[in-house]
Amino acid sequence: MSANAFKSWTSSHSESAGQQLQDPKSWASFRRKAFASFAEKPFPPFKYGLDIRSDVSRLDWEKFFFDATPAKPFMQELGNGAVMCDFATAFREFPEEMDEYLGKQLRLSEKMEALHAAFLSSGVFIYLPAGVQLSKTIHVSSVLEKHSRIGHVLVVAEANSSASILQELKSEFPHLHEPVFDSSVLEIVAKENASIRVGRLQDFSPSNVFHHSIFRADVAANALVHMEWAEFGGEWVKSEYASSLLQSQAASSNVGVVLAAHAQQLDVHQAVRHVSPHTRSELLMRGCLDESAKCIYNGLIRMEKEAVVSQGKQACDLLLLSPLAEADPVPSLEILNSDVKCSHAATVGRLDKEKLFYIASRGVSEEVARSMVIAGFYENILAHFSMPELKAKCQSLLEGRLKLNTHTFETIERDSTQGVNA
Amino acid sequence: MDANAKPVTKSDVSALVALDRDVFDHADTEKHTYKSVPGLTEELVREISKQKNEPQWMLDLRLKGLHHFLRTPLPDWGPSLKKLNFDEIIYFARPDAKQDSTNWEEVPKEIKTTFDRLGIPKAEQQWLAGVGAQYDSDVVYHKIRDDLAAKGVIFEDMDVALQKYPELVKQHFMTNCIPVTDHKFIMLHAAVWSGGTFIYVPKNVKVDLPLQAYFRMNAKKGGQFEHTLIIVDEGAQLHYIEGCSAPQYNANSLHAGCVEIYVKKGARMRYSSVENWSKNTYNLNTKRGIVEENGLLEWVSAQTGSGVTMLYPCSVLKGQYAKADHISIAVAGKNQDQDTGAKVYHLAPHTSSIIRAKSISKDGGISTFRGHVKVIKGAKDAKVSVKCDALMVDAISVSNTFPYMKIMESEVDVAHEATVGKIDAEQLFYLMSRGLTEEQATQMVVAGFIEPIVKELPLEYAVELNRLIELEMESH
Repeated sequence: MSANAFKSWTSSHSESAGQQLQDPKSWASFRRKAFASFAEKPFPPFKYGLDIRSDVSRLDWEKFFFDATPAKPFMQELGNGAVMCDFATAFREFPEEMDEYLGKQLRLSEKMEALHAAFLSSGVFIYLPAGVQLSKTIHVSSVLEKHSRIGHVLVVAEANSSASILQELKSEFPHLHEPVFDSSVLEIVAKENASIRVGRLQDFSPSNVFHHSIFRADVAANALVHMEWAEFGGEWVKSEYASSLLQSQAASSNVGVVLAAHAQQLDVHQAVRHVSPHTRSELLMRGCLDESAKCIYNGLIRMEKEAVVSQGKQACDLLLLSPLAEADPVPSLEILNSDVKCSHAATVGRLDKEKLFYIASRGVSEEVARSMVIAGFYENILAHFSMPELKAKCQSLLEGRLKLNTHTFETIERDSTQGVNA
Repeated sequence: MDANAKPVTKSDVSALVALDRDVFDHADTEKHTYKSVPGLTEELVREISKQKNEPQWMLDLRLKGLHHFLRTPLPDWGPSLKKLNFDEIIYFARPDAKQDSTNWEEVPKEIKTTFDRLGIPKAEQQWLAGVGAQYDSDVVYHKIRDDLAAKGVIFEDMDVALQKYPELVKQHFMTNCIPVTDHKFIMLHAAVWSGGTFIYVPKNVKVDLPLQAYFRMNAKKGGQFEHTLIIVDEGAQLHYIEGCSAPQYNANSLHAGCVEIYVKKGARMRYSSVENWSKNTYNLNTKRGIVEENGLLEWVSAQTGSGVTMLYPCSVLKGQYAKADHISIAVAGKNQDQDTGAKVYHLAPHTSSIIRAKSISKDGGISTFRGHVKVIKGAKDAKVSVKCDALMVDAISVSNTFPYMKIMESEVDVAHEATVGKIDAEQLFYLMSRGLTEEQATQMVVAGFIEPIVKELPLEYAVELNRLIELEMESH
């Protein structure tokens, strides 16, 4: 361990994180508030309903080491005045924006969110001035090394701007041997008429990575936020993808895929809050669980009183590939006004035996047939991905995991557009 | 499902003698031989047991319930129970009547009038195989058709059954199905339970007409804690119906009943209930059944009364090929919080369950569906289907859906779907263009919405339910 590493969740650790980030006054006081809230609450049990709970028995909060080296400052021009920079730079160059938006979507009354704000030590700020439309995808990827990390991305998209942002999370080695904690928050502020796509590909080591992540978007009038994500790695993962449709005609879509095996524990939350009239949302998720993997799915559409003439739709499908896998879906609705259209559906099942038989009868081995049916199951949801780069990456990762030939997805896509596989 | 169930038509509804909300809300003059002081004490629990001349084990069970009740916090989820003051409730009130009479003429006049108004003896003559009536803490009347009694069917007041069939009761009373410590309100129930029904249907006996019990809470600030224990032995069949009502007082009353059902191998049981407690009742009821191999348990529930309801009938599918069918309708009006749902545990292979829940929210009412379905490892080929539909009549009401599912077996088919929406403007427009008023058109759309559930009820109940919902809609 380097000389300036931290182990415990103390106020001095919180202060050092502040020095790393060069906190301005306002953020320093926010951080202190966060630490106070963090200190007074116990770690949550990650329990839902009567007996649905994420297994945290291997999660030892005292085992994690944090690097105290300050991040290298950088400032990248993205074109037409759009920039991306580290938080220390942002505090200097964009003090008003940082002050107004950073951490504002966090709820400090929640232990894990207070933890994030109290120990936050690195961040990326993306600023899109009004009217700027970027065609090139912005990458905010990072690689998890031996140290635990508390990282943040803040995206402020002014009126009429548009951009695609892709976050890839990987660990240094495919399998880590020491436990590492990663708390990752991505906040999006989408102002009037902005159109933002955010993609996330999480492919951490399936062992020893404990990952807590939050994607949240505040969506203004006529703005659109697409969240597209894939959760493949992590020994223990709790991820939330949520948007608040704050003004009329705001819309969001939220599409995700999950593939878990080994003893991975996933706790995925997809949520949307309709606050204003004429808002639309869609939450879709599909996943396969192999070996003794377990996935909890919490979906929530909340329609507030004022959110009249709004539409929300949610669908979650989980396949259990092994006798030891477990799926616990909880698709909830909270509807506080009647002038809405809202529906949800959730299924848990197994591979369709008839499909398997049909493919096997064409002379394909059982193992390949199985992989092809799984690929078909995923293709159905990957078709909703609007970021080609993310889609291609997910497809090739899935092909690798499912031991499929490369270009299997391409073949399925081609066949289905030609009606062969209909 | 009953193939002979007739659809309910408009003429059935109008044929019914005008059913008045007042019939339920009306309070009778209170006449009690014993009425406890408000509040819950060990002394009271001992007094109840003493008055009923109970065996020691039952007193022990009551004391155990009390012990745990006093040490258990209120649930930290669901509707607010803040206004429920346990110290104000009268836990035990015995009406001035001969207990457990089998002769309707012996029932005191005031009580008789109430049940007459509710149509109980008339129903018995026409289409029931047996009927029981409970008034506050005591069962005042019960009767079963002679031929069924001759076949060994037992239909008794729970208190009497404890004296007459001590072994059978001891074996099943709050043991495997709903243990005393299950949750806070079951602990309370164990401590102060009184009255209720005990039914035993012997092997292969098919009870062709329904058995019915009617529960009436009359004492002001009263509590009713009836215990229902039903054992349907191998290959037997039973349909049991319960109805509930209470007068409208200004003070809150509490209902914490307990229903335990044993469905043995190959048996079929249908439990229907039409609940219409007054709007200031806290209805915190617990119903659970254990279903053995090839057994079938059906819950048909209609929930229109009570201020706060927390009720989640539960089926434990213990044997292979066991089946559960939950059908429910809940109506939440002004100041009502209907928190209902279903729980199903799939513990064996080839078990299947269907949950169909419908709810109507109006005048600011809150209706919540809360489901809990668990499929354990090894329950291969389990099938689960959950479908919730919510209808919202106005802009100020609330509808929630919280379906929890825990699926630990991979060879399963589980599907859940839910929809929430308002009354279709096009349907209203169409009906109104045919000359109906908006109110009539709304009622017709609502009748169509609940039809799939109503048709599962016997005709008389279906008519009553339709009328109740019409009444609710009219008061809108």
